[in-house]
Amino acid sequence: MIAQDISDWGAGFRAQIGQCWNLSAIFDDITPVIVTVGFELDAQARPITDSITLLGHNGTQASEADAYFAAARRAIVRCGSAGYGLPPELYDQWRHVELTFDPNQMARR
Amino acid sequence: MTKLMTFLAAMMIAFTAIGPAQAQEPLRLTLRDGVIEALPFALPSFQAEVAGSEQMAADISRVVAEDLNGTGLFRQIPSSAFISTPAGFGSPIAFADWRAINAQALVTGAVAVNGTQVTVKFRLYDVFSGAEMGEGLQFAGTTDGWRRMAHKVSDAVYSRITGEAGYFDSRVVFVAETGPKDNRAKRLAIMDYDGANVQYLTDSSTIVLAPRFSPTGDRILYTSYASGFPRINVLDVSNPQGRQQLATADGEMAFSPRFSRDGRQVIYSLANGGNTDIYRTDLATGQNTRLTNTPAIETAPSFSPDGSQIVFESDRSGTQQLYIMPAGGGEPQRISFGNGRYGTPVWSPRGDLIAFTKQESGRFHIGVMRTDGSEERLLTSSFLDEGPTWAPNGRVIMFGRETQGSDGTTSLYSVDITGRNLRRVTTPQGGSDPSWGPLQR
Repeated sequence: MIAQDISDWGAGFRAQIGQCWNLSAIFDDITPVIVTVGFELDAQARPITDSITLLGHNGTQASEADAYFAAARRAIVRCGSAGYGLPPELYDQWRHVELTFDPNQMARR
Repeated sequence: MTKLMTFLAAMMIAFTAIGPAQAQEPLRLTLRDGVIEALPFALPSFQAEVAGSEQMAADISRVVAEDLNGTGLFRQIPSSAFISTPAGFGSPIAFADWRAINAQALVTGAVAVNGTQVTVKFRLYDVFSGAEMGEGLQFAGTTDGWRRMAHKVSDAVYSRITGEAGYFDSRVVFVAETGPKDNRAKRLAIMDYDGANVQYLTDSSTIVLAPRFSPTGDRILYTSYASGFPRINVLDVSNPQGRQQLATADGEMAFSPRFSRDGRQVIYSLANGGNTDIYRTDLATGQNTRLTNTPAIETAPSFSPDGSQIVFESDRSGTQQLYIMPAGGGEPQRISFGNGRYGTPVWSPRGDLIAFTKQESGRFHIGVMRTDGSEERLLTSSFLDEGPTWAPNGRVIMFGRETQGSDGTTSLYSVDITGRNLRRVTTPQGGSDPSWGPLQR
């Protein structure tokens, strides 16, 4: 039951960020780069900008990974400025986030 | 049972996607859906730091904006939407004002003209992070080189946002064409990547074809019919009258040349006695090496970026197809297997793709494929598209397009490797057979 609850708000959280994840400026569907980004949210579910860090990537060049990370960071900050509307009673569960941005599915469209 | 399995699978996916629900453990998610929209950027007109610099500041701002907009990857926000503008170059940025109009990147700059000298500096900001992307940069030069400085700013902005090198401060050599189709005058011309600053390198007394830049952009190979037969010339860009001709025996026809990546060798086609094969010539020693030897017509060779392989077209299978062989010659591997005929292959600077011309069912296409022939993708379609050339960063392709009919015209176009952003490159006359040079230094 708890898992189902998490999947509800987790899916909503993910969808909100997806609306701001704009790959136009970097999207190269020949060689998309997957990046994993770590960040913290405050109690109002707003991203703490300084906490956003690149945890890992599968790019062959650091500059590519940096660009994909920048797009991910823009998405997290831009769509979270008013808070992500996550359940406050579960703050411990979403305070620290590791989000993997995988553009491969978009590349195949 | 099947429904139960599906449900259990769905639950497992949910757990996998969401991760453990324990305190202190991070919430782990995977995002696979985003948007692909031109990234909105704001570029307030660069400030004139010295009286009399206003026009230059406006011109440079315009060219930078045109460069970025022209990629199709960025969308300039009109200045009428601005809530505020920076008080001065380096002044604090009111990020909230730029966020409010959804600017995701902000470019500010300043220009100072002193006599014939001009200085351009710029800063790039990630608006939603409220941080500068890289450090401010400054370029200095002469006023007649102002467009190059604008392109350098664009290259730096593009590179910082995309993570890839830019391509704006580069030049293209092409065949400028005038006159009717059945009596067309052709001469070599060189221009900025965007069609500006066209200069002619040859007159129209002789038909010229297939110009190709050297890797450093200081020389150009081309095919000339000055002797009545096609011959390959090497031209010095800084002194177009200084030309060297590759030695070719009487009765032989040499054409379709291309430099090796170190610029020391030329690969080309040589037709002799009705047979056309691929040869390599060392420019310093003049030594020739025959690389193919079949009764087929083999032409349009292009080196891989590491110089170890050559892609070329051949009709050895009965139809015109693409093949790859070792740079020293050897058994080629066919890589194109689709319907239609393939030609003019060019290896991308990144090494991952080959661009080509394809003719099928009466239409011509520019396309790309992986170097093993997989993932073929046609980017354009028209009455006649041919002769692709890669931008220095391997992201954009330029090619020639000819319209149908006796009064058909030739033009240059560009398209990115995803097939988006097809654009005509404006030139004073018709144009064909472009060759994109490297980024200038």
